[in-house]
Amino acid sequence: MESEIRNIQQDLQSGRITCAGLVGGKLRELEDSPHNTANFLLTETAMEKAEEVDRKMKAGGEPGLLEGIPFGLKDVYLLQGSPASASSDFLKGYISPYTATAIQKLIDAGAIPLVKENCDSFGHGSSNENTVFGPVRNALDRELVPGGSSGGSAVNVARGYTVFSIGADTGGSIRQPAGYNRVYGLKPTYGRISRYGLMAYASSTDCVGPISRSLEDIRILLNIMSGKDGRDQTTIASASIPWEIFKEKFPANGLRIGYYRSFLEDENLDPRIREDFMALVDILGQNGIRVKALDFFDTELLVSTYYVIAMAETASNLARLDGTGYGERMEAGTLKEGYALTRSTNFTEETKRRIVGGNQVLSRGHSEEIYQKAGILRDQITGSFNREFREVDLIISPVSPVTPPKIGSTMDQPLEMYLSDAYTVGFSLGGLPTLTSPAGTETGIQITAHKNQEPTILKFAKYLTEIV
Amino acid sequence: MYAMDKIMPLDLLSSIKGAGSSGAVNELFEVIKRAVPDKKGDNAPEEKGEHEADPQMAPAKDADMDHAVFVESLREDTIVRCGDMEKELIKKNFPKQKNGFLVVQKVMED
Repeated sequence: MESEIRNIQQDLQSGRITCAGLVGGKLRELEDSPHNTANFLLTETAMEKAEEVDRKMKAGGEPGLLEGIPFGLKDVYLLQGSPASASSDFLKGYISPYTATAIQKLIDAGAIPLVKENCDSFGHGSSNENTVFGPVRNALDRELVPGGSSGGSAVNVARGYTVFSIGADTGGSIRQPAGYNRVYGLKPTYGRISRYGLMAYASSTDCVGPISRSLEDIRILLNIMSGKDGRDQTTIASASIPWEIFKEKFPANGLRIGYYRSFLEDENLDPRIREDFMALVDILGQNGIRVKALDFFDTELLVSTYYVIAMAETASNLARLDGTGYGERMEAGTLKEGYALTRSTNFTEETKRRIVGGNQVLSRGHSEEIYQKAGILRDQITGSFNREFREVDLIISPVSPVTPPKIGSTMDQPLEMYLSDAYTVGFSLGGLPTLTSPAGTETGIQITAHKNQEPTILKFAKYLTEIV
Repeated sequence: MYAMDKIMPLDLLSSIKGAGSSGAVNELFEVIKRAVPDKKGDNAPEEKGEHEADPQMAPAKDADMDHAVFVESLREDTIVRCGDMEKELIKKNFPKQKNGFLVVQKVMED
């Protein structure tokens, strides 16, 4: 199985390339890029580290698993001594006091952080236009949005500016931009990777995950970042996934795959995506795989349930941003006026919309009618997944109902933006592992399994590269 | 000051000047209001232990318990001191400093 990480390491070890040359080249590409993916380049620290790697390689030192590999991280991760803005005015001048667990694990394995990547502010968006650094441009067509909220990360990987990037996925923020830019993007099982040091959007669905052009690299990165962490007590123990999974002949015969009828009957689904998806279903059937249509919740209900919960959680999480201990502070006559002025001035319109929506559903009267009911619906959705995974091994679905829209065409239509998350948010509510594979349709397909079944997803994604 | 039994307006609740509800967001809320949770039918939430007899569901059963923290697994209740660099950066991030002191915002009046 092709691994970009391994190929680069071989080149570094053989002396064919130097790490300083590699990192310097990527930094120049990022600086000159018309895609606007970089909020902050980490030039000084990256070059220092690259020179260190070159000295180590020359001295015949034992390289770490990711020694000398330059990577990008969405600008919602903390990396000690570097800016962490969440693409907001609020935190534009904020410097991370410590490093996120997942990022530290990559650094400990030898990887070199190169860039804090442009994203939707606080993860609030599906187009990467909700950012104070200006919109990110799609890797394949600069007139189109890259998807969001990890748009800068997906574009960097697709353009080869980073070897891999670390995105964050709350309701589809890794999977949708991965699909829009035709790369792999994994949202692991909730809790598999520590969220410590990731700015919280909706804590009950926030996930850390890798974006890469190589499936083998997704496996390597997942193994490195996974594990329990005392600083995030929602983390779970998980087994390392061996490289041999890609060597095994995939048991196509007997594999049971489901897809959701409601997604395919969705009137918002682009006919080309529907046609391509159903063509893929046919190919799978011709290869001896049992494919079954499943009944599921309608997309409007999924989106609404997700946004009620996500808005409530983000209203709570972002309540701490008041200019008291960090971030921008605006002075006013009284303390409360100071808070209000600070928050009104420094949050974007979309972030304000979500905070207000969250407070609305958490307030008395609305709480019972909306928030608590959304919790019941979430339990039903989870129950439905549990039942479905008795009947099937995997669920496949389109990533998005539409192909990437033009930049500027949906910014003033929030409902349309929310509905573009229709096929990703359900799996987030269930905490299920889901991979976007750049196969099948113009925006790829999602492959979902039951919790902790990432190996089955990866094996099937590899199998897809052989049959599609 | 707003008493607990009074309705607090959204702008005050959110500490965002002029904040009001959004038409797009309200449309999502309406969908939830109209939804009828299925407590007994196919979409009812699973009872705990419902699938214990089904070995195929083992991963799901374990997964249900994944995020529960057992008392014996709780993090020790100890103070973890942060390093000098972390302390320095926390001070550096403080919005206002004067004569070596961190300056807070106005005090709470009510």
